[in-house]
Amino acid sequence: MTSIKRAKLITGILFMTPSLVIYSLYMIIPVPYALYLSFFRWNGISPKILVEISNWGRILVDSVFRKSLLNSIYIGVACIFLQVPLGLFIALLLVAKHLKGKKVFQTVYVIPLLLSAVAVGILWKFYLDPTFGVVNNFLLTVGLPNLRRPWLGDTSTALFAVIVVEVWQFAPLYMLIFGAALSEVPQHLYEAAVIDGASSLECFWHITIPLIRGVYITATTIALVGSIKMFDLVWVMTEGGPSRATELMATYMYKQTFHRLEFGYGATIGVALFGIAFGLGILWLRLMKHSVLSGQKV
Amino acid sequence: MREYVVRKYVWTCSLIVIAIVWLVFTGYPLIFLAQGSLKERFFESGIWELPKHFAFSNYAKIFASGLLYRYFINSIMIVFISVFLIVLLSSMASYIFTRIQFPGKRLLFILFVSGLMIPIHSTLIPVYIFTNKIGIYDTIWALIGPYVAWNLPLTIFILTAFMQDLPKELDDAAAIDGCSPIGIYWRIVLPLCKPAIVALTMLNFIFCWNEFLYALILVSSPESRTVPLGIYTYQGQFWGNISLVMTVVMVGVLPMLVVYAFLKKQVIRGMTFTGLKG
Repeated sequence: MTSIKRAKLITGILFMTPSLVIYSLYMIIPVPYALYLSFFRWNGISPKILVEISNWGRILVDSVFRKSLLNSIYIGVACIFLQVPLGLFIALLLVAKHLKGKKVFQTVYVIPLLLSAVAVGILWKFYLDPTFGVVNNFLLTVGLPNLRRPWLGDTSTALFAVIVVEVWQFAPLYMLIFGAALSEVPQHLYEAAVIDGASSLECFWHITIPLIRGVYITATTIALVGSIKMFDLVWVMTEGGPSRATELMATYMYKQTFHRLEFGYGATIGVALFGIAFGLGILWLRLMKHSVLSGQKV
Repeated sequence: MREYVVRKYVWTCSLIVIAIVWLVFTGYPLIFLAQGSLKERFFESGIWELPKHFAFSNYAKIFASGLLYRYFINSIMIVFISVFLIVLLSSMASYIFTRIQFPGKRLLFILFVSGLMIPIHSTLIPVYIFTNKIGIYDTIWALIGPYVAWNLPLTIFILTAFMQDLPKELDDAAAIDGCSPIGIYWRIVLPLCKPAIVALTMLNFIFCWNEFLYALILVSSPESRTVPLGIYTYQGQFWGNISLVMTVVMVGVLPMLVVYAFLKKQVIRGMTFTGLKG
């Protein structure tokens, strides 16, 4: 018996160590190390200068950071109220009985999800171009020339344009998530309800919605945390411009660190970003405790 | 009865219209891209029009420079090594999480899963410093560690859930027959996990192939760039030549579309997994 126990122990150590080492080196230790760096002024090369909490004082009064936080919140809210419901809507469309050619629709709908943010960003920069872009030329063709805009170059529309692209790319993710959830709703519930004289709307409201509620909360969290972590798309399309209209916490952190070589302050923004994302995650776990999915194990 | 038929007809038609509207919203940008890349010069015909004559000269041009090959080779190497390591290490860790009892297991699992909530941006500066310190900055090796670490949490989470649902009787039977824990992992658990592993391979392949931020920070010289970083620098250099940039983007996304064309079911299954982290 002891030899089996020993074999198990050795296997445990052997199998767990590689993951733990790599994961700790690149994901866990960096967080406290970034916190440590946030107490210094440092350009990445010369010796670090201890400035105690002055970076933290600075972030509190930094109007650019506040702006970037606000932009992240806008994107988060837009994702929750546009992306997630749209995803659900398309998923419902794809399970509707009378729609033909579902396979073809679904196949195309998923494509944006597979593309790199860099490719999507460049593609949409062309698509939204003021002169040769498709959107402006479409507006011209349908007789609405006054609506034409330099979408990404105008401070009043840039963030909105970024959100549209974000929806374009990630709505299919929510479509897939909801599609999987909908396919697990037992059909006989609907059949029973129809026999009892329920309309399709009543079926949707009293059967579908309660059964996918947990998935809806999950999807909302993915959207929220995802929008806080957003970087690539905005970096490629606007680099946070024009005049910070699309500045996000991540883009601001990148600029401060690698363009202005303020490693200490960059680390401070990074830790703040971590705090916000993690806080939201914990909040979500609290919510999940009361939801349908809480039956799932850890 | 007549009214019912009419209503059904209207309903069906509106469904189709909505589906087509979304299809155009999704698909037209891609058509625009493909069409632009096939024009020799972007303004040779109107933006709605097809190219005057389908020209593959842009494709020839970008491959003639040779650097694009390099980006592809780098990306393929990095992604293959990373995805292999992610799946192997995750399956090993998940096996321990589901099959062996040890003190602090729950805590260790929470440590891994909490990685789902860590934004990689807050780790960037330390990772940058660390990569420089160990002397692999600006090589393709700089990216493998971060890619593996960044994708372990989700993969471990999903595989652990999957392995938990496998019947334990098979393990016991094998153990009685004298199979070692490693043997059980290799001969019984791993083969049973094959569908999950295939889907997770797809998912991680997509994530790693498209990754941009780590590459932007940990790699600088043209010889070490990945495909996304290569495309990004390319558009900076050749912004004036729209068709050429579109061609580069097109070539950059093609591998993914080919994978999707052949392995659609597995790709979709993999992407759907991201919704399971509840």
